[in-house]
Amino acid sequence: MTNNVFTIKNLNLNYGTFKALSDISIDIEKNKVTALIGPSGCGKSTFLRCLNRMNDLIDNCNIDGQVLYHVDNIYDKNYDVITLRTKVGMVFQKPNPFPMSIYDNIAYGPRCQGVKDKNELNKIVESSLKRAALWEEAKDRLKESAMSLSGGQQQRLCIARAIAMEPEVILMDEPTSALDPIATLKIEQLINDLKENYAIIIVTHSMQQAARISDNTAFFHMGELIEYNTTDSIFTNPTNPKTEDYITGRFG
Amino acid sequence: MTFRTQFEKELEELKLSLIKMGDLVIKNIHLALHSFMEMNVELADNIIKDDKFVNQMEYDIERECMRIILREQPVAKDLRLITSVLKMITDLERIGDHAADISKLTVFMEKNNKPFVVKQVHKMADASEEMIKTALESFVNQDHIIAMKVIEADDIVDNYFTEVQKIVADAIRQNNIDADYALYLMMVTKYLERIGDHAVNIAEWVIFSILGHHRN
Amino acid sequence: MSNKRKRNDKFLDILTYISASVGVIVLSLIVVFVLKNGIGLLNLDLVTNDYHAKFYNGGIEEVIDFSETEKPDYLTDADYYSVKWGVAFTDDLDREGKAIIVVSYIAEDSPLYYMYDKNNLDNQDFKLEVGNIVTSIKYVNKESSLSIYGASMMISALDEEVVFREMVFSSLGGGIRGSLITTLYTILLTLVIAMPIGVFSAIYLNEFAGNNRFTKTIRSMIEMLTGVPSIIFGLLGLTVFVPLTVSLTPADGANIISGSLTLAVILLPVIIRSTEESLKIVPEDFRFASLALGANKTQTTFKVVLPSAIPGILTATLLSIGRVIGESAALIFAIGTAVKDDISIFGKSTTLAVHIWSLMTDEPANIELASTISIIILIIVLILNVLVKLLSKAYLKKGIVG
Repeated sequence: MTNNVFTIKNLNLNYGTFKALSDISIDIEKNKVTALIGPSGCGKSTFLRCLNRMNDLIDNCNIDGQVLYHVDNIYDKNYDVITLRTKVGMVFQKPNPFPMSIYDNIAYGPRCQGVKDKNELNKIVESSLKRAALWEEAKDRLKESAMSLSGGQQQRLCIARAIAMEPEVILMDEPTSALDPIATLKIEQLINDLKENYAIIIVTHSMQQAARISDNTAFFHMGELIEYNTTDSIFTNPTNPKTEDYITGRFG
Repeated sequence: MTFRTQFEKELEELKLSLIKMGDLVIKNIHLALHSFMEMNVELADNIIKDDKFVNQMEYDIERECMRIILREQPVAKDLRLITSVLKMITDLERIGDHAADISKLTVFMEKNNKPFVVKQVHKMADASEEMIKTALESFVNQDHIIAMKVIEADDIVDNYFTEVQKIVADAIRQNNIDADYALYLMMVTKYLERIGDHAVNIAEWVIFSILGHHRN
Repeated sequence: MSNKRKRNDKFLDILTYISASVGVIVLSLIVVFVLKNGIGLLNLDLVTNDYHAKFYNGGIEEVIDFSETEKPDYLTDADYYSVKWGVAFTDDLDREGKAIIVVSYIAEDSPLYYMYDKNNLDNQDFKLEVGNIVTSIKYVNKESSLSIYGASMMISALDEEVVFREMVFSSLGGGIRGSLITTLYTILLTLVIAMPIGVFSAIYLNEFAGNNRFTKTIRSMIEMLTGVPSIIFGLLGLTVFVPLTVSLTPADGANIISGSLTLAVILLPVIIRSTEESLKIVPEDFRFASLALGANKTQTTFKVVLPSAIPGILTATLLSIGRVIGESAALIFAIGTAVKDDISIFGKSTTLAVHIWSLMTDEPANIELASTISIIILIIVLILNVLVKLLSKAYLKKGIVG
């Protein structure tokens, strides 16, 4: 129990009348990379968004079941969503840095939480950029607009921005699908380095990526969790035939 | 709905290649023993020459497996299949080598050696041929039950080996057998026993590719 | 391509070219007309002078110290100079084309500085200034010099005397300083009232309000208001804002504050709509990213969304200012039509547009001056345009705009 950052029990989610998630129960381990795979529309991104309550922003969204972050159910009435989101960061599919300088992008989160001291902010910016493997490329251009970075650099900036909040978990929704192969590789390397300190949950469309970088893999299909196991098991000897069919490409 | 028709085709062709290699190797064992028993040097020479075809087949199948891995990035069952094939061709090639080794013994034997027939040797040859055939069959049919039978059959081959050993030792003590011939005969018998072991290996890889775990 | 299609395409092309040409020609004609009529009167004095001419009667005691300044070199032969009095007069025409005599130079040691205000003996600031019009000089023992005699004769008559009974002079008038200041005050006040209300309303509607029928109704109502003719708002100004300001401030009639309030009401729907459009354009991604970092809605709106929307809001401001400058009908009621020279926000006055209206309703209509004022208005609009473009560019450079 103490090795899990998230414990999900019987999670159900409806968009209006459409059932997007059915009875999901899963434990997410600390300091591991967990990959969520499955065909389009199977609910993996929806599930990811449940973990930092970003689904709250969508109208007509009804959630039922327990999502425990450590021991507390994040869907409790009085649960502090803001703090949750500082502990559970998110990186999106399309890099979305703010139209501000690189420095301001990273300092944004801490500033919102009340950090004003310039020295402290400088330290946070430097450490976040270093941990996101972007410091060398960015250190001389901190005041330049974030929009002047390449796509891959922007995504690493978004990761740095999330890291600046010192989260425990980083959620990544297809973080490399908009990037070229080299940028993708760099991010995958980064993820490998990051898992030492963070639990990472990554939604990916690429089976090869899931096989390359994750420790555990969960296969979703039509809103259900079909199989969840170590990545080695899933990709060498899956137990559920649906899983086998999907990962061998016998159905899309 | 199968998307990967090209991939499926490649896998089928791979299986066929493996069968062909197996058939060639089985033929060579049969002929090798035959050449030994009849002291047919000409036949033995042909078998030794033929071994290079076996080696070429191993090489070709190996290249094909690597190509499939590169292009298709197989996972799960497909991955196990490819890796099993890679392992199986090694064993088949070894078996081919052993057939050539038996043939080389035939060539070394001097003409005036008196043959001493031990029918268990023939039985060993038949049994190991059967094991190879069954192992490959289990691979083609993806039948792990008959693959298990191959593993069990190895005991029979080992028993025959022990029997032959006893018979030849007795014959030496009773001076019924030519000393050189006895040594050659034991070597042939040993090779046949090794061939049985390789057939067991093949069967174990078949079971791995089907079930996902190796017997060990 | 068939012949019929070719013909159709050609027809459409020609139509496009003709329409564009007509547009360009008409616009050029307007500009040319305004320039032609107005450029003659355009000078700095126009902008800084009072509208109403002020009349003065100056008297002087017997002069003891006369001037000794020679005629300065920069004065021409058209300037008639009196060494004794240290003053130069020249002939000129007023805005109606009548002959006048203008003071073109006064020496530092001119005895004219000893003139006193015959109408107000306590007036310490009384003096003749360069640019004043001398109507007549009345002497003790000879006949008065009148402006129709010309500057040359007036100077020679003056030069013969050591004292005069009275000098009647006036300031030029016809200046638009008053109206210009009124316009600037109005712009400022209107923006101060309308922008905050408008921008924050738009923020509420777009970011905070739910997507329900109530919000949709409010939006439709705002849309409708943009189509209401502004004269109706003028009525509102007259019947509501004027009495309101009269009771709450030192004002006692239509005033700039009531005018600004009226204009603010006219502009509010426009500002709300433009701001909402600018906010809508901000990508949803920014909001998501901000919320995912643990910011709340307020921080997201004011630290990320609003800065991105600023170029759009600046454009809305420019539109508003343009509307303020151009608005005449509503302001006729709300600020008044009296052209004033000392402007108080509590008093009546005219904006430039209303001043034009006032000139055009005179008998005869003063087209030249109206055109000149139009040129000034165009210059103001041009400056504002450039300003907004520069501001947007500076913002873009800072990387604020996505």
